[in-house]
Amino acid sequence: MVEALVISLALTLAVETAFAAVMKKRGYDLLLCALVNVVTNPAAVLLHLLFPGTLITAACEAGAVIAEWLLYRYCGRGYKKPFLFSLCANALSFGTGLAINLLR
Amino acid sequence: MKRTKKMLCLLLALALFAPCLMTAALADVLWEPSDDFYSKHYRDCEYVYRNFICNGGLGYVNVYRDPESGKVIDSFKNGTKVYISQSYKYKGTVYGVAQYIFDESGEAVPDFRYDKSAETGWIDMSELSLVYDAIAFDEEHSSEYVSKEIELDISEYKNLVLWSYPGSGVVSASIPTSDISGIEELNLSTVWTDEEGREWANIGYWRGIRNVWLCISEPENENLDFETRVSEPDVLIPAAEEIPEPKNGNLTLIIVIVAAVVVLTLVIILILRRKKAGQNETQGL
Repeated sequence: MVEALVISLALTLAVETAFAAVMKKRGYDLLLCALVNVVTNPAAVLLHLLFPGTLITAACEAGAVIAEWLLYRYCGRGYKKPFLFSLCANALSFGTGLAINLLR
Repeated sequence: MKRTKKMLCLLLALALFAPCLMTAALADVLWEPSDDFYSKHYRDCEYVYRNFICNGGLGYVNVYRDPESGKVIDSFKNGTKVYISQSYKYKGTVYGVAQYIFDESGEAVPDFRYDKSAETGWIDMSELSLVYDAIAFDEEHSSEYVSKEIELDISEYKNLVLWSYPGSGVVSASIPTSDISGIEELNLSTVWTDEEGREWANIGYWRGIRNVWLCISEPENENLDFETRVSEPDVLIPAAEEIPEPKNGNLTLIIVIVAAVVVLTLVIILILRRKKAGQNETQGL
């Protein structure tokens, strides 16, 4: 379980901070992106591991998007469209994880 | 108009018969456990499809929700029979998936339903002892099999008793010969002779029944006297009188660590936000 949590967090950090960098987030905003993922990812993965199922996974992902949106909105500096950013970043990392699982 | 009506009738008939056709198709499909972990990892699983007896070192075995989480969902006392359909290797340990329900007395019994209403869980297979079965019999005695062409005149008998394997004590089917139409002789080719000198013939597939044995010396005797080949493990560790509550200590620790990480990171974010706000105010002044 610890392995799954660590791998998932590392992958999410790599994908979402890279996405943030591409979206021209620098300094404080880039650090915020990494920290926000440390808040949401382990909790979402833990819930998914404890209660596997499509509905729970979907709820966890939706929860992560909303939590990240709120954090970008209230704590971010250069996030002009925080919800869209959160949605795209999460879709990208979720899709990457899904693709890796399918290719394994 | 008439043609349209005919077509509609045909479609209706097809719709009505579809469930029957599907049932017939399902009958030949290999049963699989209704387990989420298995559904995700079936490509990495191996076929087992055999009965086992729980034989854990502590007098019971733990049933895990899946091999990777380590979360204990049930514990079975030694002696409990489980049916393992598939196995999965995780970090050197082979886990087998069992599907079960609890009977009126609270004992776990194997279950084979297709929906998700039964319980499923994974058991460390090193804590299980194999129940002697037809495969085990085959492994033990296949070198003693003799190829022999036998034509058994079934009209001489009222009933044919088919056994799961010689000495199993388990009758797989008892078929009245009056029900068998169009066949007078049964052709058999693989024969094994038991310690009493009785000859047994293996039937690979007949009338929907797979891999059974017919005692050709006494085909209709359901009460054959023989030393039953044991279906219990050689060494059964006594069942524990009390099974302790499942220990999910690691899981609790992981939940605490995750919660701490989340809270700590949130605090760091808020501190950074304040600092950044302070910096901006200073710059603004």
